[in-house]
Amino acid sequence: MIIKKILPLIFSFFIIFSCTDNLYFSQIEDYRATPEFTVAFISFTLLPFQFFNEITGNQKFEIIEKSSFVLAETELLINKLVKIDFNAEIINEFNNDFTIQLIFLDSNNLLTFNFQDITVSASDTNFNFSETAEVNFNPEIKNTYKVKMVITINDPSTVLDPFDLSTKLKFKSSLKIYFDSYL
Amino acid sequence: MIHTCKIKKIVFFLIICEAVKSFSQNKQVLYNFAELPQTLLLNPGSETNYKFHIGFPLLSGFSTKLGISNFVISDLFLDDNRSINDKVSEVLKNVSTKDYIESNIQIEVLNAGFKLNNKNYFSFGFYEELNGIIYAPKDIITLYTEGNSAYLNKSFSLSQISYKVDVLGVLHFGLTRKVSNKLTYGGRFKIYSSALNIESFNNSGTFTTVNGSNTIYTQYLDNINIESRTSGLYKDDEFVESFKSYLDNTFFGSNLGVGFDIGFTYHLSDQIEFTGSIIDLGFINHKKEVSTFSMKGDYVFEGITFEYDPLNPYDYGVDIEEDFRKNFPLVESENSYISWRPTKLNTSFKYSFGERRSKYCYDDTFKDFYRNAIGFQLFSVVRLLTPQYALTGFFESSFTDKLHAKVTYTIDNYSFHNIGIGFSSQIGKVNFYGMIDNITKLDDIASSNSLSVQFGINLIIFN
Repeated sequence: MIIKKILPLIFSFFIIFSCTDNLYFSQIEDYRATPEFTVAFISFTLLPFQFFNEITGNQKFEIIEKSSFVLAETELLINKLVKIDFNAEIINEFNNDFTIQLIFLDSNNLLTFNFQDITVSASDTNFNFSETAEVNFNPEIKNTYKVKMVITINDPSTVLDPFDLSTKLKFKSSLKIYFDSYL
Repeated sequence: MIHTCKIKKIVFFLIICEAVKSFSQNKQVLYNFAELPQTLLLNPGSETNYKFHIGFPLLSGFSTKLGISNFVISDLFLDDNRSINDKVSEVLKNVSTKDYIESNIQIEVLNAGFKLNNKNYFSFGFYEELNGIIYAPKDIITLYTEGNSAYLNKSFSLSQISYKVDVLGVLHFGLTRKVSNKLTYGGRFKIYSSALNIESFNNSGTFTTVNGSNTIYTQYLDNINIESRTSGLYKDDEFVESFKSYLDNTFFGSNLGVGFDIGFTYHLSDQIEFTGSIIDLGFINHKKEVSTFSMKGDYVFEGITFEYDPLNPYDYGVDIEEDFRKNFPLVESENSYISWRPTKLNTSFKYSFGERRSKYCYDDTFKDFYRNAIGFQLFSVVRLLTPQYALTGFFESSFTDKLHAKVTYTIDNYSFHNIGIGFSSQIGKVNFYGMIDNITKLDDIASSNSLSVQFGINLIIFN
């Protein structure tokens, strides 16, 4: 490659024509870039009517949502992935406890990472949750292609009012994605 | 298609260039010195005093200049047991987005000329040139090295992406006309053959992460308008790695251009001389092996908002991607484009004094000259963001009519105290010349911001 031919020529030139301090160019190979990227992740606002079957009208105790999702666009980036911090802020205006499950899946819907269940107590309007996923201990996480979220009402005897538009479960979250890359 | 790993190679090359060297095109010691044939390439209106010249092929003219603004090689590569990460961070802290790295290497393959008659001197030749500049894209480097987490509310500017690299061959024909003993002017026609062009400039846009209202964070891509062009880098979607391919294309390849040099020398009196030239006023039309891509638009990202609406199920991720592509399309094309050459401007003012001597001229006459001269030169080159300037004061002395020396003191973007020296010696019909600047840093170039060298051998026939 042209660059490989030009650089030695230039180095040779300066070596011949000059004196230098002790230089150690190979140290550039030790350079590590460790960027941390923060991005918005999943958010939603749930009202009581969303826990009712839209056809039968029967109350549900579990609702599920899924989406395709990748942690990094290219294989090159994926291989530099070292850690993910998941952070969530939840406002629960319901008089019920909820459990929220966040699950990462691969393209065949197989589990790649399962976050701890998030249990939100009734009327807790300032709930924070965070969990770190280390890629070293969970290498399958790099194959994540989908995200699934399951919300469960913990008490099966709960009766919700589908016409109540003022009670909400607000969820917002973010990811902090850590990379580690040598030049 | 531009693949990530190939982009990485290019970026790495540019970073290495930035880390290791910087070349400018100011040849302050060579300019208007000792009537050397090579001065005709800096001013086609330079005075000539010989009947015929021919440079030794590949040896008649080699020039290169080293320079780095705001940091030096030893800042990064000194063997001092400090972490390379710390050193890079320190350098990044000190450079500004106006700092740049230039590169220029010029190797004459052929340089020759002869007197057409008493008034006109015809010169021609061919040289290979590598020329490049990259401005410090601080925000992009910060994003790459640190990410955005520590920089909420900071707008990372994509307009800092500004670079241009050219590898080309230049075939040139010039005519220098002596109108009178006072005035000589000349022009040079150039045919450029580009082997490689990589450029991106006049970009705009910002990337910002802020605390959101409905989401924890909101990310904005505002007013993005980025374009990158290459020619000669890819052939049939494959990265060209062969040195020979590049070399072949420097001689009447597919991407050709034209340009002009013009210049003059005017004697206000026997002792006062004024010169000026404009070099490389031209362009290259890139038509073959072209690959350009552009991105334009705005986008707001607030993550995935789950609706939990079973009646309208859809894939949020796909929806976001489609929306992103729609609002922020990546357009690739092979359309031709024009790249402009970095036009240079040289001017000089010289006062000659001291012992008056005569030298033999091609037309069996004698030309008077003074042993010493002082003066100043101004150099400017049009660059991507702003023009660059260099102001040089100089002292010239002719020990004999065959041995000349020049000392320069230059103030430029790299340094306020750049001292250069040069000599030209005629032994029989063979002329040797050599020049080097920033000599005070020769004992340790790794701690130097700039260094340039030119040298060559010519055969000069006076009669």
